[in-house]
Amino acid sequence: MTGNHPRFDQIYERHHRSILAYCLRRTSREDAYAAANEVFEVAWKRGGDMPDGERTLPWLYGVARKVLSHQRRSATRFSRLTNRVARHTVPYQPQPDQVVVQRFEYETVCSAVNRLPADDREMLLLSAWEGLTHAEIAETMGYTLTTVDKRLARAKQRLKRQYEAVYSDNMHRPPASTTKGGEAQ
Amino acid sequence: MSRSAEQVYALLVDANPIPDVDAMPETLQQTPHLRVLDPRRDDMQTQTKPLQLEPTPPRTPRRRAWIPAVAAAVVVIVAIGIAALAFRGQETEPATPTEAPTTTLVERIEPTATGEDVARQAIADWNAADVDAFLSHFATDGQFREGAVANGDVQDTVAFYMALQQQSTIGDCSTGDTTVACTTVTTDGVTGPVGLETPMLWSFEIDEGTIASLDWSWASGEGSIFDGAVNMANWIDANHPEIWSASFAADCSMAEQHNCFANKWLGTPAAATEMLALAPEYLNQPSVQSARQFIDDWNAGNADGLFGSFGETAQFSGLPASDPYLRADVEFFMAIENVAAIERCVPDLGSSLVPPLVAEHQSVTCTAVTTDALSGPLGISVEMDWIFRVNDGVITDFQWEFDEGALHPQDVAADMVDWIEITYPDVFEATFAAECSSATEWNCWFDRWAATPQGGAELLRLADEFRAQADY
Repeated sequence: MTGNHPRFDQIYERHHRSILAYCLRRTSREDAYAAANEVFEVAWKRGGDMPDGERTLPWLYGVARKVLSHQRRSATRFSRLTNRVARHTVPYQPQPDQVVVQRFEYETVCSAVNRLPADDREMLLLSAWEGLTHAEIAETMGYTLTTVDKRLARAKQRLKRQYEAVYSDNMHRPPASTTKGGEAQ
Repeated sequence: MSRSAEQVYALLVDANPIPDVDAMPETLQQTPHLRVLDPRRDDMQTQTKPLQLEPTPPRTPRRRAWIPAVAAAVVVIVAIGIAALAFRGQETEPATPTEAPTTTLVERIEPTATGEDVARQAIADWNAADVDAFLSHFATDGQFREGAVANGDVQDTVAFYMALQQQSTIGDCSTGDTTVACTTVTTDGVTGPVGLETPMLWSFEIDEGTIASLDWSWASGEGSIFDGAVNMANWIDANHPEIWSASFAADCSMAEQHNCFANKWLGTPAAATEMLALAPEYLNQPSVQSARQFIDDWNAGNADGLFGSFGETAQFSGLPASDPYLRADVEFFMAIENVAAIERCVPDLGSSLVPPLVAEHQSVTCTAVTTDALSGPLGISVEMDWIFRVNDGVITDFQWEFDEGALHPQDVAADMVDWIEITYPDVFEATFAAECSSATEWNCWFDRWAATPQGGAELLRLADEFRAQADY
């Protein structure tokens, strides 16, 4: 997707892969491509609103967040209209042959981050996976830099606690046999 | 296993499925561990939960958005195991590779009747809260969940659960030479009255008519009654310290005492009695009242009250609750008289590993049947979980979950707008059509129209005519 707008071409060239990667990290491949395209469609339509320089990418990430959320609204209805078949193959649904844990620690830390409040999780992933600075995270999420500093620090502590909890859960509670004395480990 | 916060964060960095954007063409396939991330937990009306892959145990508690998918994997394994056990007698084809995780469990079950009788009677004695009768089924060196039944603390555990009025309704039992596995739906006296049930598997090993061992398994992290009991104990610790000191607090070790919970309290009949007595207060604590008030405001169309219940940085389905487009969308739903009939609201039913009630954010899950004035007359509704995090009476996070694939009232609203666009284009242009982007404006549906209270009013006005021609 490119156009006659020279600035847009430049932005697309520079940031498309980052936005696509952001989407791929959060949804299926098929949906990620659609979402990334939608992000740049918005950028094309709203070029005047798009900030320049270092603030461009955080702005695009902010759009991508909303696109991914809205994607489901359309998807559910489309699913119904197509006899609710398409969505049944979303890669995130674990298949029986996929439950074997290949990368225990990665799965554990991803489970842990998934337990966090939405903002904590998004801040951590923007930092850890998108490599954004605190200032860029503030730009993307609409918070002040101070807020991001504090919340990110707390989010890391919460991630640690949840990681330990998930780790313990996985180590001590195999599927077919539970541990004794309730489930308070 | 002990890692610092920074080490865990570094692990998260390493878990990046696409660490190098420039190398993306080679890494586009998603990394398997990412399946544990639920990319949709922040969605609004379309919040979903994973599909059941196997026959569903009755009344499985709904998955909460922050439940780890590792637990989901456990659900799948247990569900497949239960299904395989239940239908084992009908199976004629060899197990496919996808059934591999349950193969061992299935193969050791062979048909006998006597063992099943013992198992069923033991469960019946359990339900009758007859400790002696239940224990009498065990061999002298029998094991109950990894503890010797001869031990007093094991017997205390049994007495605790019985005093807590734990009841297991048997589904199917599958038998083998020495094994019996019974699926059950289990409740207790604390959360049973509000409808919480836990699918469980009772796995017996039976030798010459006596129980050599009995183990339970259930899906962790699903909001089980067991998690509920532990969370309630935490609540008692925080809110009734005198009762805690008298009936719960103990310097105990889970490694040594079977009825030691969380290394800090003992499950005894006295503790269970206190829990039953405090259950009404526990189930109606302030955080639950906040959640109920939120739904009441929703039902009353009180947008000011609803949004006023949010904290300054609160999230509403992953968005800042202060987002004006979000509010317009909510007011649209209010205008079409979207209402939620609460079935139950229960605090903190996730895994006990989730921070307990005494932590910064308390969790409340309300299950409600939702419909609106457009779809209600068509008999269309959807059961949804309304999931809250509450801090000192202020809602800090809210999101929905509901079954994927269900016809949702919002689909009817969307269909109706399509119908209006064709049938009454002037109405569509005047009230709905918008140059908007669903990427930036939450109330922009399909990049074509904007949901507003005025639009909702138009839908109500034309609802009878729409329904007369609709085919659902």
